[in-house]
Order: sequence, then structure tokens, then C-alpha cells
Amino acid sequence: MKKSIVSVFLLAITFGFFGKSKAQEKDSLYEARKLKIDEINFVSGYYTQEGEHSSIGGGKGDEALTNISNSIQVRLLKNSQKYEHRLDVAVAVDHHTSASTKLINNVPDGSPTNIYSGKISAKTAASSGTSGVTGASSKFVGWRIYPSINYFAKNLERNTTYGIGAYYSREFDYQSIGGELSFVKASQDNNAEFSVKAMAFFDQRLEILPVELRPVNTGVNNKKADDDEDEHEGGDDNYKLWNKNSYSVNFAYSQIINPRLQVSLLADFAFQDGLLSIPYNRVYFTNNTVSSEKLPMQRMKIPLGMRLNYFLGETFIFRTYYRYFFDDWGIKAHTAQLEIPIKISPFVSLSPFYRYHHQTSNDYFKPYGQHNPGEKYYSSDYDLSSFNSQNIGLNLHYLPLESKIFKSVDFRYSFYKRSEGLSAHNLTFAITFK
Amino acid sequence: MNSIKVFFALFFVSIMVQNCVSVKEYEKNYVNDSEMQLSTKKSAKTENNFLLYREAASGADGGKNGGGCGCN
Repeated sequence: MKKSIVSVFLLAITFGFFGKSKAQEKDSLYEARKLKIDEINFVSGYYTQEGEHSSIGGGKGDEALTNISNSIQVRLLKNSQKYEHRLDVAVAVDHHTSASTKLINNVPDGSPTNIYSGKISAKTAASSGTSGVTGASSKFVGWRIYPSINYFAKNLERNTTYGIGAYYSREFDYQSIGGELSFVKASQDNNAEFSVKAMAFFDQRLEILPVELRPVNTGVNNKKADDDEDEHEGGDDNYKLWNKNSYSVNFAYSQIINPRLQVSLLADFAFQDGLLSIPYNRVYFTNNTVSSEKLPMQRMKIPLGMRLNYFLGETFIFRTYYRYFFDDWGIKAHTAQLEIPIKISPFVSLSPFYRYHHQTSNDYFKPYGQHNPGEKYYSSDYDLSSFNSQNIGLNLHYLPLESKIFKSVDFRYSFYKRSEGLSAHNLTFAITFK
Repeated sequence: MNSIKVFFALFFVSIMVQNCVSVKEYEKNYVNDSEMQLSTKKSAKTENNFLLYREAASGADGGKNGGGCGCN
């Protein structure tokens, strides 16, 4: 009897052992996860500005503008034993109204209409062939739609990530097709990361001149190309289509210094060629003549940046950013930002922030009516002038950890002011769904 | 003067890098906080967008450097 009991007991242990081993063997085999939605990001923004230096008016005029922006991004993840695949699909739509755009089809009150440079031989009546630009309404209403798609593949063993992306943008006078390639290498302990990204945009702009500068509609494009112009014949009989190409290589290195401090260094090298001026921007000369803005057909830009984030105690975080920018148009700029998230609770933080920006003017800018005849390049666009700007605001960040739907919610307000007079308010709502 | 600025910048960076310690994964509760991320916040997206149009400088922030829009 005792022998039988022992035998049964031993058999039971034996079968139990092998049974468990089989289960373990099955569990130890990695099962690839199916493609799933990791998160959905929704960002909505409202922007409004005021100013008195409209570039369409040659540096004078109402700059009132409002813009409502909505974007949605879906992030999909798929894991295998060796790779993590990520697909980001996004689309954004902007809707804006602008008081100054009415001046494209209307001569500003009291402004001279004698044409500078003699390319156009006669003053003309307003052309009505432009879609989206109306002369009758007091404000111009415009749309911009810009979808994008990015794919990343991360090698989990080597800690390297390869990425590829495509971009598209469409406005009433502007179309862009772009792409990017990226590479990221992280250290094995994930304390350091180096990335490089190459981007290229192949854009086209419709040359919509101010009404008094347009050629007479004879059905023939009689504009003569200069030797250094690279134009693409297109559009309709009244408006030419110009190319604008942008290329950049962006480097970034980030390092965790200690458990509370991490920094990153950023450097971009960018080159643009093609039509870099905005055709409907006016420029007035000292001899009471008017022309369309004219800028060089090439531009090289180099921004260098640094971020430093530090967690002080249990409550305060210091997020700092500095950038130095220079280009071959004579612009030098310094930008510095400080944001201090205050962790009110583990789930809520309130972040006041302040940003200061200083830039010198480019070599071709002069205010209204101060350009001399004979200058090769000329602009009265105050975005390219010398000014200081300040941006101050508050960001509320909420992490609803117990929610099964929301990952995070942000409300952000900022007030922007330039030393030459332009001011703006910006309100953003961002929500991430699980 | 420019060479002095470059020297101090490189000196600062080298001091930072030399003082790096190897931080284990279980010690990263502070650096992994959502407010400590080194990238631009999603809620700052629309702000960065209008700054591309309103200022001549751009880039070195993980975003675009001109192109892709009718901006500077």
C-alpha cells in the first residue's frame, strides 16, 4: 500500500514537472504583438495678432489676423522580437482670416502707383483670375491643409532607429511636397542618444503680384526671365509658378548627466534656393514708385541650440532652451526660453514660461518708403527686420492616470509682443488618448 | 570676442560631459517625468508654427527649418 502511494506520488510529481516545463517553454517563446494604436494626439489652437506694419502694404497697414488650427495624429505600434515598428499618421488644417490680404487686389489708400523698375510697362486694372483672392470682401479667408506620415523601425538589440517620412502642404498660393530620412543611435544604457535627420521640401508658389503691378491680361506671359532666375512655367495666363527648394541636415545629441539633469545639443544646416520673396509684398521707394519685394534666390541658415532640463527637489523642474542663429542674409538672432513646471501633485503641473528673442535686420530691409532706386534687393517685411520679442504664458498639464481613455491633457496660453509693435495671443488645447 | 564665446561654450559642454554618471533604469524616475522631456511639447506646436512666420530665425528645435510652408 505504502509503495503504491509513493509510486502514485512520484508519478504525480513527474507529470506535474513536465507539464509545467511545457507551459514555461510555450511562455518563453516571444509572440509578436499585432499592429495596435498606441496613442492619438489632438491639438487645437487659436491665434490672433494685431500690428501696423503690413508687408503687403509696404511696411504700413493693418496686420490683424486670426488663425484656427486643428491637427490629429495617430500613432501605431507593432513589436516583433527584434524590432519595434512605429507609424505616425497626421493631418492638420488651418483656417485663417487676414485684414491685410485685401490689399493684394486693392491699392493702399494714398500710396503711389507709379511702377518701379519698368518691367511692367503700364498700370493695369485689377485682374480677376486668381482663385481664393477676393477684392470685394474686407478680409481674406484662407485654408491650409498639411498631412504627414512617418515610419520608424527600431532595432531593439542594437538600439538604433531608422526613419522615413513624407509631408504635403497646400495653401491658396503655395504647395509643398517634402520628405525626410532619419537615424538615431542610443547607448546601451539609454543615457545618451545621437540623431541625424535629412529633410528636403520641393515647394511651388503662385506669383500673385499686387494689383497695380500685374501685366495686362493679353493671354501671353510677357515677363522676361533674368539669368539667375529658375522659373517653372505654369499657373494660368496671369500668374507664374515659381519653385522654392529647401534642404536641411539636423543633428542632435542628448545626454543624461545625472538622475536629475539632462542636456541636448542641436545643430541644423539649411539651404534654400528659388523664389524666397513673397510676390504680393509691396516695396515703396524714395522716388514715389512701387515694386514687388525682391530677395536673393538663395539662403543658407545655421541655427545652433541647446536644451537643459533639471528636476529640483520634488516640485520644480527647470526647462531651458537657447538658440543662436545666423544666415548669409545678415541676420543674427539669439533666442532664450525658461519654463518652470511646478508639480502641484503627481498628476498636475502648472508651467509659467518666458521666451526672449532678439534678431538683427537682414541686409535688404528698410521701412516704408525708404528704399533707394537702384538697390538690387529690397524688402519692407517686418518679420525680417531688427526687433526684440517676448513671449510669456502658462501651461497646465494634467495626467489622468486612472482614466482608461486619456493619457494627458494640456491647456496653454501665451502673449507675444514685438518691439516694433506687433502683438499676438495664442491659446492651445492638446489631448492625448490612450 | 567670438573665439572667447566659442571657448566658454566648449568648456561648459566638456565639464557637463565629464561629470556624467551612469544612471541605471531604476534611478530614472526624475528624468523620465513627462515634464523633463527634451523635445518640444505638443501643446507648443501652434506657438512654434506662428513663430516660423513672424521671426526670421528658425530651427535647432527638432522642427522644420524653413520650407514646407509659405514661411520665412
